[in-house]
Amino acid sequence: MSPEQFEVYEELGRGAFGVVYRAFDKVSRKMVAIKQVDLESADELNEIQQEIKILSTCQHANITRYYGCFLKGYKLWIIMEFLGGGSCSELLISGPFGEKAISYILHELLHALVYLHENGKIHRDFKAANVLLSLEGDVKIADFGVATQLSNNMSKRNTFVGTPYWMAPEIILHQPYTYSADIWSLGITAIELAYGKPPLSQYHPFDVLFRIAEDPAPELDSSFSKEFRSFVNVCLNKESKQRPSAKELLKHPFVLAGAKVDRSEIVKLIKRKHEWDLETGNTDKRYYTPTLEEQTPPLFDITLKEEPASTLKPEPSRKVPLSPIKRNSSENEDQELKKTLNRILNQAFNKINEKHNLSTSQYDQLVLFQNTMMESIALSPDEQYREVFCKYFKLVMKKIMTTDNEQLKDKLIPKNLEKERPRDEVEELLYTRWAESMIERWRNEH
Amino acid sequence: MAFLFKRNPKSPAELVRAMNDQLTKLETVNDGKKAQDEITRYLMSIKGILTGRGDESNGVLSDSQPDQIAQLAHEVYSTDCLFLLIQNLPSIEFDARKIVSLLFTSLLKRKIVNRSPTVDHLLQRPQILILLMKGPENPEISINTGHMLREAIKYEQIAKYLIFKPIFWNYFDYCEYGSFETSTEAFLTLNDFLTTHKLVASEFFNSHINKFIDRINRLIVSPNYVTKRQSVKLLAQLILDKPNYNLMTTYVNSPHNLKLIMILLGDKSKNIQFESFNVFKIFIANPRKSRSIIEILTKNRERLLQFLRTFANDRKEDELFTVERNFVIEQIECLPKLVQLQNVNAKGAETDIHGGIKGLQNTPSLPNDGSPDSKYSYKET
Ligand SMILES: Nc1ncnc2c1ncn2[C@@H]1O[C@H](COP(=O)(O)OP(=O)(O)OP(=O)(O)O)[C@@H](O)[C@H]1O
Ligand SMILES: [Mg+2]
Repeated sequence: MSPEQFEVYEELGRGAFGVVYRAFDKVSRKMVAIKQVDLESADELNEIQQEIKILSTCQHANITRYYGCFLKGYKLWIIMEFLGGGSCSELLISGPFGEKAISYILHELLHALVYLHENGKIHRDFKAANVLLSLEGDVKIADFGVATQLSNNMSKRNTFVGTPYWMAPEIILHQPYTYSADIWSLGITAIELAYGKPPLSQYHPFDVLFRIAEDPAPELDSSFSKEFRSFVNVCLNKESKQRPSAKELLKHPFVLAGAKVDRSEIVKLIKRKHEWDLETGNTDKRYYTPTLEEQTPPLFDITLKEEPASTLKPEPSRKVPLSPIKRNSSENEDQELKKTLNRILNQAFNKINEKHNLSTSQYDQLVLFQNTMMESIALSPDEQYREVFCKYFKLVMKKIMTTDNEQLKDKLIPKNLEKERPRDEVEELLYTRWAESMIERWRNEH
Repeated sequence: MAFLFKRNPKSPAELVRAMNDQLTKLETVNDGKKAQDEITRYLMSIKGILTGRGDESNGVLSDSQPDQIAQLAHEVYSTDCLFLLIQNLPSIEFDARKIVSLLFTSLLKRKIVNRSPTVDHLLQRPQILILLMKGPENPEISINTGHMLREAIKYEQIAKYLIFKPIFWNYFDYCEYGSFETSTEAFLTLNDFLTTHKLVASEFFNSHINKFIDRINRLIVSPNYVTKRQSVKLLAQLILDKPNYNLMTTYVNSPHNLKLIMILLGDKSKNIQFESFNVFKIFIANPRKSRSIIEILTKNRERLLQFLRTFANDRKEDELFTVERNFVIEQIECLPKLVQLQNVNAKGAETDIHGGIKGLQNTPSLPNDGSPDSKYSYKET
């Protein structure tokens, strides 16, 4: 695997350890997610190596599949399967989940936990943000940034890690803990899915630590079903030894009911979030821009009288050098331009997606095209290329409009589409902007 | 699946024999998949015995757990089962490979009185260890073999046996090439070999000093950022390890090595700069610097001083580091004086290089009254 094989698109999310981008793998011809971790900003490399080791030794339908990783400069690129539905915590923005969906998610998550625990692994950072969904409704655990492997001579841990609101009391109290810490976090995650937020979220993380240790375990209120409340209660037992194992929880009535729920419940939630995004215009995307490597001359004079320095230089780096690029326009102007174009492209995309209920392959193809547009019109640092692309695009449009070949014209601009439906405001906007820019360019040229 | 075992329970010995049987069938074209499934099932039963959590996948077990493990171990040794398992690891199912690791490490930890029967077994059947050593050549299983190997070399006899084998040198290549996973695994193993049993390691350095320096020097200029960063750190640690006195003196006497370290000191990566400082300071602390070392340092006096005065300013809270940095700066400031002292030293004033470094590491405050001579007082003590 190498960086050249991926086309990197927009940012999917970011966490404490890195930024995650969507990308297209030109070799396997699949969408992937790439987590880029900056190793230079990590004091120790063992943690990230541990994460990779855990990821690469897990193969399970409910765990984000790992494809491999490689180094690019100081960045480690971790290639994973792409989960287009986003994380549960993102979906919670558009409202809490219903019990049906929750029971389904818990059932799936418990399968992953059984697998992890049987293989001696504790996740330690279980929360809705680390539960990802595919567009088809698969549920997968992600983010093994702080997961740990218990070896057979040491069955307990006492390192203090995790995210406060989801942390088990025994971890907070610095007691030795084991797999049951994940069961507590699962219970908190269940509450999070039901209310949209974990318990105690109104408090600062520091106060939370004290409260989790001191307060009685959180519960669901009486508006929820008896089974769901019972599930949360057994997970959230402050006495870690009393918590059931993941395997036992699979037999809990609430989870058994979840096994029968259809994954379309999840697809509904994803759709709801898409609609919410459209309504609120929450569609800004951030794009990946590769950093250019520059060669710095050696700092010290290391030549000796008797020998030339050249014999001592470290081997030339094997990276493909990027050609230096001149930037004419100011950075800020570029930024604004990108943002606007991005918004236009996204709005158009989302509208089309909604109206035509795109299939996965249609979706992917449009995304690819959209990215080409973005790359060519705004992101390409090569000014000349941008201009060439615009000219090319304009010419193609013109040629199509004026062609004598009616058949081709019909195919590209279907008549019924043009006649039956008036343009909506986004199309109108796109059209007028396009026309305006064309007129502008035409003026400049003459 | 479970009914199969209930109808046909197997003793640990039978289990091992049946599994060996299937292991030989893995290669055959028609039976491969079936053999793979069978092996997975046998391994799951073995896991049940080892963890004492023998549930439905385990046959009817009448003996106590320690007895069963003893039977299992005995059969594993006498049928060369570990060799078969490791040799066929790539054809064993992904999750079942972890049980092979579990079997290996559990047996390794077994003690009878104060003997470790598995360590004896491995030393009698070194082919198993050699197979493990070759693990990085097969990326699919390198994480499994790496784990087993590192567990094995926790035992000094095994580490000592392997470190003097020619195959050990391959680790200097393994940790630079291949996938990120394979190379970091190999580096971990290399690191354990060189740092766990200090006396074994120092014996190794003493018998291969030049070759070792040559190989580690190649790693510290590796184009791979992780290899580079980790190996400079390892080098700094090794030359400061007490039993590696010989390695230290040899390393810091070479102007070639000083140049490499100075290149790294000027690296773009702050972490590599910092790790290489921990080697650089030893060149500076060496009370008997050779002429060419002094030449390089004097030539770069101003540049070094300018660089060091702001070097790693973000680590100011690290007291030890600040003391060391100031010490290095002072030493460089009086470089011309050092040339004179050099002659004095050469004539006989024997100074212990370790004394110098000890001062460097432990002195909370070094004399700093401004007079250049007093700056050498650490040498006379
Ligand atoms: N495979 C994926 N497919 C789609 N989106 C993903 C994928 N992996 C991660 N993301 C998105 O990126 C975000 C951050 O990823 P992740 O949790 O792995 O990073 P992290 O740096 O370890 O974060 P944390 O702060 O939780 O430790 C996720 O919440 C999710 O929105
Ligand atoms: Mg996360």
